[in-house]
Amino acid sequence: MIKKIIALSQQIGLVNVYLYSINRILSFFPSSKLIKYFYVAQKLSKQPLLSAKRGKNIEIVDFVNSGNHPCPRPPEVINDRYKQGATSLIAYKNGEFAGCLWYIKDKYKEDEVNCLFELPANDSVWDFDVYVEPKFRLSPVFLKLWDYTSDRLLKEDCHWSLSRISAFNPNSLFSHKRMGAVIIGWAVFICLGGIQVTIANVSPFFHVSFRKASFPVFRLKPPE
Amino acid sequence: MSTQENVISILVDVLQLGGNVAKSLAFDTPLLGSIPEFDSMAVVTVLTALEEEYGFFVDDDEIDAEIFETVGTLISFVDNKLSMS
Repeated sequence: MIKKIIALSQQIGLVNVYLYSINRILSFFPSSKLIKYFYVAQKLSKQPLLSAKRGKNIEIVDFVNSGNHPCPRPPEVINDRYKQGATSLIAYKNGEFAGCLWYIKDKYKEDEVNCLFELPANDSVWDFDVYVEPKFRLSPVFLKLWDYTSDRLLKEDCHWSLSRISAFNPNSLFSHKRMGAVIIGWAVFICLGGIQVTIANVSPFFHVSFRKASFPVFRLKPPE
Repeated sequence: MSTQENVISILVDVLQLGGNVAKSLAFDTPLLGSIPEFDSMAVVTVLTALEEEYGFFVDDDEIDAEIFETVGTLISFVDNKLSMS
């Protein structure tokens, strides 16, 4: 147990290990949790991450909301994403559902905590819920999805993709860092029943919400 | 350089592993799930480096979690590819 804690603190830092421990304790109480996000900005590149010889049996399609979305999320969550104006790209490998990626322009209402992300810069999108089926997680599916999305967004004059990643997920942190993502902020959300306390190093810095209709708004821009 | 030394050198280089982790890599060192740097991008990059080093090709459908279980399983995979080519 001690070894695991030491290993985790080497990967995510001691502060985040403390926060993660608090989250584990809070999880025993109803509707309670502690979430920490890093906000990252990823510059989109014309240079594909995947070489042309790979991913030939992976097809990417734009999935229009017709019900039966293959992404394993509750239907109400899927419907809400489309209602907000999100785009969903699906990857099929040899005709089998392999993964999906979502992105949205302008703004996104987060579904894990109560907050809104706004993108005032019109050359950015918000990407979220990049999912790959477990059996394909070592395959080029993710890279093919990302290259396809980058190519499409660059043609639409978008140059950055912003997103949030859990500070407690070292694999995600490393992957984003490897791709050249830069951290542009962080936020901690402490949820106790219906109350949410937000502390962040980006505006609005501090927010307390006692009801769903009240939430912090993060206006995030890529680095200059 | 032996296959083991070569594969370890490629892993250290591709994953940009720090001194202590790099020195600790041995035949039975677990990879997937043990080294956070090991994601799908790392897999593709490692395979590409091995293809360039040894001249064989790895089809997408050959990529399996078992290959990357340990340094040893990756070495065995390389030896197997070399024996087939």
